[in-house]
Amino acid sequence: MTAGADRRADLLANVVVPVASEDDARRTAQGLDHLLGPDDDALFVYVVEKAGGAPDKASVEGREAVAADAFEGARDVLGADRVRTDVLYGTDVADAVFAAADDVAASAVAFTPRGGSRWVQLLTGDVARDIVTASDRPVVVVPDVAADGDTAEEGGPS
Amino acid sequence: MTDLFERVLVPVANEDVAGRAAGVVDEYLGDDAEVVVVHVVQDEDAFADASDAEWERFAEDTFDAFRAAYSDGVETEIRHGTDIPDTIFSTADDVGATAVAFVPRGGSRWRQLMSGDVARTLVSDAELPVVALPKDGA
Repeated sequence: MTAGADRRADLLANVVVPVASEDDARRTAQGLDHLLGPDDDALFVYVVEKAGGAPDKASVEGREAVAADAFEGARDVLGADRVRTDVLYGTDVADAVFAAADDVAASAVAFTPRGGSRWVQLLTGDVARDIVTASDRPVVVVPDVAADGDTAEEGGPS
Repeated sequence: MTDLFERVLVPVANEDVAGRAAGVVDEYLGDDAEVVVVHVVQDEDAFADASDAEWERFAEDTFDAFRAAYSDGVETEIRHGTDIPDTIFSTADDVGATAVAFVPRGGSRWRQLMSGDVARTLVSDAELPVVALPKDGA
């Protein structure tokens, strides 16, 4: 019976992936590369946090530049045909990610918890907990294969 | 492509959570997944009064509640450890799990506080894919 297998494949069929930097995006993409099938789609999102009040235009443009680099990193690893991207704006990171997931009827939210940037380290705290406990759809935490130096499979032809 | 759910480790804390978790796991994993249910007994002074037999019975009640709500057979593991996430990950290693799946939202507020800490650590220390499945389903 293929029903179970189809549902498993469906979990990653249309996944939303929040990323904070190019490094984060590359690590997450590498982790996802083993898990995504050729027909699976990943929407990489970068959240520009707005504290409220008038946003500082220069700082918003700076964040958008970081987003562009992050998305380029994701495409580099996964291939442009499996990567879609969007820059999100909001006061709460988790809420912005959920809203995006809702908009695209995402099958799951996926992210890698470890990485170098301070923002990504925040992900291991309250934001990660919020995303995990408040989500109304599955959240897949993808291990950072680069940090441990060991992978499930060697990076051969896929 | 690695099958995320080929062999899934599902940690469960008690009967109540186990029944709910089984329903959610059943919905998302389907019939072909191998499921290993693990109950971690924390070694703490607060529970020192309970005998080993009582803990074993508690764990078996937990497993029975899971089985009653799950459509297929499951393997079970009882583990002891002071650190729940750590023990879950070493169990995952021992049983050759491809992923850990859990339902992060519990029933009582106290249980939510507990599972919030465990959830956060399962996420930050993940050495294999960890999947949080929403309680209310699709």
